[in-house]
Amino acid sequence: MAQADEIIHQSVRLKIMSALAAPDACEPIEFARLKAIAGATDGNLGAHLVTLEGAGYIDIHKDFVGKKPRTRASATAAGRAAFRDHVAYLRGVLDGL
Amino acid sequence: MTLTRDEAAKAIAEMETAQRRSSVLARYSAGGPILMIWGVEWFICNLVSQYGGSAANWIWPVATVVTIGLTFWMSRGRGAVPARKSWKAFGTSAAIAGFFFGLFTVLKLTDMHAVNAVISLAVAGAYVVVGIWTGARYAWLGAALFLAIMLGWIAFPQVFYLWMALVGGGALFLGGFWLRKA
Repeated sequence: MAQADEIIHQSVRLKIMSALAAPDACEPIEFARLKAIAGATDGNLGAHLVTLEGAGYIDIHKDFVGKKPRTRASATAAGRAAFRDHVAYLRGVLDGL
Repeated sequence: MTLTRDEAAKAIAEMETAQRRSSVLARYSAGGPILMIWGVEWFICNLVSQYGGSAANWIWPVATVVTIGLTFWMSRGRGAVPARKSWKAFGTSAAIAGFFFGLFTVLKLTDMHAVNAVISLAVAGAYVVVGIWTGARYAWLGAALFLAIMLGWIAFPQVFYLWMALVGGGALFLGGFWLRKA
């Protein structure tokens, strides 16, 4: 049986990974949109992104659009695999496996 | 780390909500620029219809074909219309155009103000329907557009094209900008 992933399970990080590792997520997602998805403040979201990046689950891309700084995040292959395993674990618990 | 059934159920519910929200915001972001170019198309064509004399006869078909082309180009692979479904979207456009051609022929509708209003109201109604199924912002935008068109039709019939250029085109453009920022 798959194992629970303590890094992903935290509520804000779970929402972030749900968006970034969704099957239809093919492009990096901007910070502002992640904030709306996770319902987090700037500082809170930033801290959770750093945690996920430290675990190797996401890549953070910083660039400029014109003169405006832009921060985006995308799931790594390891992040997608960890998210899949965590979801499998959750469904296993629900199914009583 | 071991989770209870309730904790797992709560986590799955949170995950599904986040994925739904993410999909809706992605659709807004992909659809916003498309609405903006249609706003520009409405602005130009209605303005020409109001002041451009005979140029109104060709500006609508030309600008509409160009804007449909731009719509497909902007939609491919950006989430607004998945590339593999773009032929279905094209077929839908052709079916809608055929429906309006048939409708206006049967009703013998030759007043171009009325033709413009009916098509514009249908667009507004379509946004409301799309919004009900895919994301509330489209519904709000459609409802605002519908009310604006009706207000122009009832209160400003002499300058209806100008109204549609400024208010209709403007609403689409600003609505698209609002969606794009999602």
